[in-house]
Amino acid sequence: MEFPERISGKITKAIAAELKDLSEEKLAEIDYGIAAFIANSYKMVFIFILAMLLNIFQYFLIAFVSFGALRTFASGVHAKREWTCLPTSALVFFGITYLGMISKLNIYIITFIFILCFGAMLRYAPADTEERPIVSRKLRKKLKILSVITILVLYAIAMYSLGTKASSIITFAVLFESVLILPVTYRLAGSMYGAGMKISNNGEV
Amino acid sequence: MKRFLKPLMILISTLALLIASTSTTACYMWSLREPKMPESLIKRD
Repeated sequence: MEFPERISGKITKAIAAELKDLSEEKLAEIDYGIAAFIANSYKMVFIFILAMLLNIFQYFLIAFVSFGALRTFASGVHAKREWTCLPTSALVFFGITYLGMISKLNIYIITFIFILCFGAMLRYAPADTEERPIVSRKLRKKLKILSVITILVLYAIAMYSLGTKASSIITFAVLFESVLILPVTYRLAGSMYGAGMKISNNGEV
Repeated sequence: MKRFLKPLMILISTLALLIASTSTTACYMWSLREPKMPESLIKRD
């Protein structure tokens, strides 16, 4: 068991002892909510502080918001283990930021990258995981539409800020996130692509 | 201390349930690992 789950388990036990009328189902949901919060927050705090220390906070913030906006709807592969997650997260966020800062992408390259990513979104988003399968077809459709809208909005912002570092950072954020939803990336990471679809079709993974 | 324990537990539970329920409709775990979602939170048509 990873450490966010270990801590959340202890907090959930304390909650169960105090609030005796909670069902097992509700306690499992509380446990998940706490684990999700812990798994995210300490990494984000670490990465935010690192970005400040590296003096790239404003560029990092553009990368973080662009990547996060698309990831909210398109999802994508997640690290299997806690110890690989922090270095991978840092690599993704700082990779996007530094690549965007050092390269000056022109309109043709940006448009070409966005067309490829748009195709990936249409074909593969939302890319769920075994840990959080998206079973509902209605929800899958809604998330696909929102992913496509988000990528269009990000393209519009990249075009508006053409010639600046922001434009390149947004483009790399979209590119990184698009790579993370590809089935080949899932295979490389040892994860299963389309877990929710499989449950929806067969009733099991 | 005991006086504050129950309201604190209620607050933590409410926030945890809020995080859990929003995680069912979108991926708010932007960092690259997510805990296993309980069966009761998986949305079905």
